[in-house]
Amino acid sequence: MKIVIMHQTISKHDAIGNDIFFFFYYLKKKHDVYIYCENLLNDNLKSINRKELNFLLKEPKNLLIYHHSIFWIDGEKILDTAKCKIWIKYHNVTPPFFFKDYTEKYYYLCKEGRKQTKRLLDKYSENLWISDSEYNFKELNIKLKENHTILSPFNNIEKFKDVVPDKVVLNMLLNKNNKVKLLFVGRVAPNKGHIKLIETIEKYKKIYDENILLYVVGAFDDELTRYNYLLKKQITDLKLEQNIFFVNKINDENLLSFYLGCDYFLCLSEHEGFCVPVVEAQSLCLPVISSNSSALPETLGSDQIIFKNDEILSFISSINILENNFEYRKFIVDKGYNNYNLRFKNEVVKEKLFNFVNNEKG
Amino acid sequence: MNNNITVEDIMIKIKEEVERRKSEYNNINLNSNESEIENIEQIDRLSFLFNQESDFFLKDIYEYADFVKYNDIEFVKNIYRGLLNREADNLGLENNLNDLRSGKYTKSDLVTKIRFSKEGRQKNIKLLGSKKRLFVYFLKNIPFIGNFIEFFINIFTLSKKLRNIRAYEAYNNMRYNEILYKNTIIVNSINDKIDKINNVLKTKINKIEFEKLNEILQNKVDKSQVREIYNQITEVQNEIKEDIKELAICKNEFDSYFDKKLFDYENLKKEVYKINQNKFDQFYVDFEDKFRGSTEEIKERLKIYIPCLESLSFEKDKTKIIDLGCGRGEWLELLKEKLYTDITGVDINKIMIKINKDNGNNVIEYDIIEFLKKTPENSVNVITGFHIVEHLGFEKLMELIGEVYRVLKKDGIVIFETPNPENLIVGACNFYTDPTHERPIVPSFLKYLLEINNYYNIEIIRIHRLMDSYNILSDNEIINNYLLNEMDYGIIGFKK
Repeated sequence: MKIVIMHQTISKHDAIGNDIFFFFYYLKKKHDVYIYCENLLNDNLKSINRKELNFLLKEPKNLLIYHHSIFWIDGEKILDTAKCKIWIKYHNVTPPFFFKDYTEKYYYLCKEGRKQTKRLLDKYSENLWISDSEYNFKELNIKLKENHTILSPFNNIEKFKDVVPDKVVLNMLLNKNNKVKLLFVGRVAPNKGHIKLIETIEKYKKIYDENILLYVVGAFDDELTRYNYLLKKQITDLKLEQNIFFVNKINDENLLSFYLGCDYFLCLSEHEGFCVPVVEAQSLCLPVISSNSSALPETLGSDQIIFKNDEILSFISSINILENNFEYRKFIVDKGYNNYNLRFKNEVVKEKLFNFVNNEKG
Repeated sequence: MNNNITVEDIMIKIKEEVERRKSEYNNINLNSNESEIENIEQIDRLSFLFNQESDFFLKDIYEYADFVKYNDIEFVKNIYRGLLNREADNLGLENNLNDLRSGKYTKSDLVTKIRFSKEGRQKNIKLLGSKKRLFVYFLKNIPFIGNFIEFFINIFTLSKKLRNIRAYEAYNNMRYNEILYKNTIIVNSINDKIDKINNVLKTKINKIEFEKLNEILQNKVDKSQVREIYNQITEVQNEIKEDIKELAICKNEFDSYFDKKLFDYENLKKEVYKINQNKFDQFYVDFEDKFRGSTEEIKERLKIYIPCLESLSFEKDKTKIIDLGCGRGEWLELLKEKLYTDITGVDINKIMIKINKDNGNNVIEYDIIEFLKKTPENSVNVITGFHIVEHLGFEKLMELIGEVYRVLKKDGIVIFETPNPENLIVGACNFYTDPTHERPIVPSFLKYLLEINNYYNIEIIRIHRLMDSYNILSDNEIINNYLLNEMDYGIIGFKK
């Protein structure tokens, strides 16, 4: 059995890019595995061409694993013509309304992407559907069957073992020991809850004190200039320029420094199909305080601090309680680490993946 | 410890904290309601300005009507979405808009053109009636005949076209009214804002305070007051000018009464210096008595230089000798005893001068360098200075050596004597007994100074060996030498 992994654009550092890379990496040990994509932004992988793809997809014994996260009409056509076995790895498509006020392009792609998901569900209702989270299935409002299963995405957390934190950044953070330092990691997009994050900092300042900092690590998107502008305006209007810092996209050394140097990971995202940064924070012993939206509670696991998205007072009170009780903080950290260790380590995910493959072969 | 904690415990604590802070939190929200509304308003307005959201839906099969009901940019963008399954790129959008706006193509021409472009054919989206339109599009583009065909097609479709124009006019009127309505909302909103700002400004500037401010401002620029002050200043200036004139006259009168020299600063400084110098005259006489030795001892020591003088070619009664810093006059006494007659001692110490005069010595109370400066050149046969050079700083020492050379006659001789720092006891201790000593002078250095001032036959005579007085012995010869070296040395030089 030869396996083809297919996606429209494969990047190097994002969650789906990492998932695809480890699919390829682990499956390669036992099978012939190929990648096909329109845009390849990862030097460690190589894409076959359309002709080679068509050849492989003609063979019924072969397997095509389609990672679905965005509208891709050509991808759908390839699926429609394939004669081989098909799995769909579903990563979720962000609801279009998040982008409605900001970018026509993403609104269009998400809207059509969601329509496409429904079409694929109809067309491939008997194929294996692997979702990042239970939430992704719930959101589609479908009746779950045997061929619907969960497999959390592979992550690249173990790379941090070989990364040396950036001394300058780490020292900068550790020297601010009289301030509470919050961290959020994720691209700057409207579904990530930045507006609520900013509001939380404002309220914390007013109710507790000024000694609070929020670092937002994540790439800005030129398509979302209006959103970026609104965030900037909100920060300026609330006079939070000295409390909130957008760090943009950074390298692994700096990212590790932020995870190690900050005090809490605050995630107020409004929509996540899974949330890799939360798991990264847990693996690096950073206590997470999170909203209960979408797949976040499921990703965080049990015994973690979770409130409704609009309960800002609860978020700031949580920070205050953990800040003043080391035992509580340690409890949250320990439980978070266990969550990563038992559920999301690549070894754990790999075992599940091989079970699926063996079943398919069997 | 962790075993006893549950997440429920933590949640209870957080909820308690939330309860404690609730009222405070609600107050904050109440106060900030206004700004939130403002932000929402702003977002809405921006959405209106930016949001070009289309109600166009992707379908499997299209009709021409699905596209032609839109206009301009929206129309072209929707063709791309529907027939090419992508957003319009900037270049494509611009070119197609130009064709549309210039009238080169009708809307249905443009739809047909894009549907049957290379990309459109690849996508192969179903468009009802497209083949018929393609045929017409093809006919219209046949050179020359095409124009006639287009003309006849237009004649046949004239009534349909007129209906379209009426529909378009109605649509435009609707859009116009919509925009007008939205504009009115915006204008009203802006007017509200202006009113709000005006109200804030009105409350902020209290009327009474404004009037006061105005009054103060008016007072400040009262021109007549300024003119008055200006006149007063001019008056005072004139008075000052008069005073200066009077002062000048007074000064002239004053100058005519007093010798200007009286106010010569240099002279005054010297006078003051002299007065200060004389304060220590008695001290120095007592000091010499105690540390330098008795008059007889000194005379005995100085005899060593007599052979040098006697070896000179000058006759004794015609040998003019000046002793600089003559002190108690031991050398002057010795010279008299040796039958020298033209001898002058110079010293600044009033008491020393008095002692010398009492003993019948020819002495002058003067600063030695100033004295030399007043002495004609090539006029003196012998100049001596015992224990004076160590009292001078380097610049003065150089001046002294130069002046001595100038004053000496050809083959005249100079003799200086000074403590010998080659002896460690002298260099490290004894030299500093005299508080008026500047610094010890190493023999080779003094010899060098004479050399560069053109003296010749320079000779150093080390005198007063300590061994004569003390029994200092060490097993180490080098140390012995350092300790037992002569305590003074004399240096003799001749003028070329």
